[in-house]
Amino acid sequence: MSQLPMDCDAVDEAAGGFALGALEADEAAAIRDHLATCDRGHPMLAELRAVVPVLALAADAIEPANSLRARVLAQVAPAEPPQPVASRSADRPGRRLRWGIAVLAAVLIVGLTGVTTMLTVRLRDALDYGARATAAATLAGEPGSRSIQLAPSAGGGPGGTAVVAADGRAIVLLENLSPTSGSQVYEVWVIAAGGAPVPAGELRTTVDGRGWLEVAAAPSPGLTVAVTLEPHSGATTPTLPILAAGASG
Amino acid sequence: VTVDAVSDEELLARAAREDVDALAALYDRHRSIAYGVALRITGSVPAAEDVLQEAFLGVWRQAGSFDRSRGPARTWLLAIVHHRAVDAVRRRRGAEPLPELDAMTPPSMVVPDIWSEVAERLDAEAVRRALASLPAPQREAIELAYWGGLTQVEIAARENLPLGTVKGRMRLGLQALARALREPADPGAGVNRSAPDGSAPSRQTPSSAEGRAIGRLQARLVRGLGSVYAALRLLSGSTRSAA
Repeated sequence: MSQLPMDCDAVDEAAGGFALGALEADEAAAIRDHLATCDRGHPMLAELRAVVPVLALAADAIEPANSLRARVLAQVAPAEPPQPVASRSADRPGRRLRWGIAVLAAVLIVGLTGVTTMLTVRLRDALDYGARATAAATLAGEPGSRSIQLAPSAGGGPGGTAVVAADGRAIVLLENLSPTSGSQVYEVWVIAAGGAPVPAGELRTTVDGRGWLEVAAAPSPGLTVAVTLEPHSGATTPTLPILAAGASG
Repeated sequence: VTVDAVSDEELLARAAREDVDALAALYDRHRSIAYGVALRITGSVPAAEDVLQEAFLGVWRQAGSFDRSRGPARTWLLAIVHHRAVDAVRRRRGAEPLPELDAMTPPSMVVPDIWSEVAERLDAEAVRRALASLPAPQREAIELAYWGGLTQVEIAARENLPLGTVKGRMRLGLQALARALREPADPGAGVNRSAPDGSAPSRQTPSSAEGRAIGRLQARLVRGLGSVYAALRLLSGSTRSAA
């Protein structure tokens, strides 16, 4: 059925059906065509259209299944299940940071342990190292802390990071260390601007080539951190070569 | 004390900026009435669940086009749910699809300002009372279209009535409904005057306006906190990269 153009009276007559979406498609289209050019505004039609959405309020409130919430929200954020706004808006920065650190720690621990390394010694090592990595991440988030990249001196050699807080606390993390033999130890040296290398301590190492050291008071600024392999513990001057080093600005 | 006082409109504005938490808050706030609408129209739990899922995706995608001057966010959201639900039952029947929501309220249509306020203060009881005040044939014509998703032609065939009669009942019924809802304290609207809590809507108006003002204030506070946090993050980022 083709629809003839409608005049104002015909539009008003069909206003109820139009407002309810109950017209045949061609009739509704004819009304839209009319409205697009008519300068009378058809306030009655506009009012009926405004009243229709209010009808929804007459429905009974019925609780949907709990699982529907996740379904609804998953489609707008597939990667990140959202949390209720109310519980986190009060202290968003703190929660975000703690959440970030927790994720970082989890990633580190999972990454370090791997899937097959269930030997307790490796697990403990990894947890120890992971704990230091987490502590380093926390330290790095403090105001005024600096991160120093410890670049390997030779390709394939050990490298890592030192995080130095404003108050001199520092955590040194190394990876890719070769196994030591006999009485050998990895020694960390800190060198203040223009000063001589001072031993900061020995790295605690894991069987999979990682090591860490916590330092109570590193000098700053102009700090250089270096790592050497010493034949014995207790060295007072570094034995060359320097395996990895880095300086802060 | 935070999100509860944030207005639906502010949540919708946040959803338009892709804030998933804002959509979650809108869902938490309106899920049961939305589900009630979907269930009443589709008559089936799986269908109603699908409708809600699609409708909130629609809310998410169209949040940016929400126009406060055309009514409150609550009725806008429920109109999307209603539209999806009717669309679903019409598809199931093989009937012609409902026009798009935008086409049902074309830009040339100027909705009277008063309806934003009216729609805001109304509750289920007020709408049910107003519907009950209509002559039964008018109410049934409206309900068959709104809750049944039937067209005038379908209703005429089903009720064995001339098309012009159905057309007239819908128009007259909606006009009477508009009067009853618009003027709840009007002595002319008998059904509302005789209701025991007929004065409730006029009492609610200032308090809900207060709530909205508080909501806006808190939204501003939250935004302020957000910028402080962003600044902190920027600072800590620059100290780290400077090292």
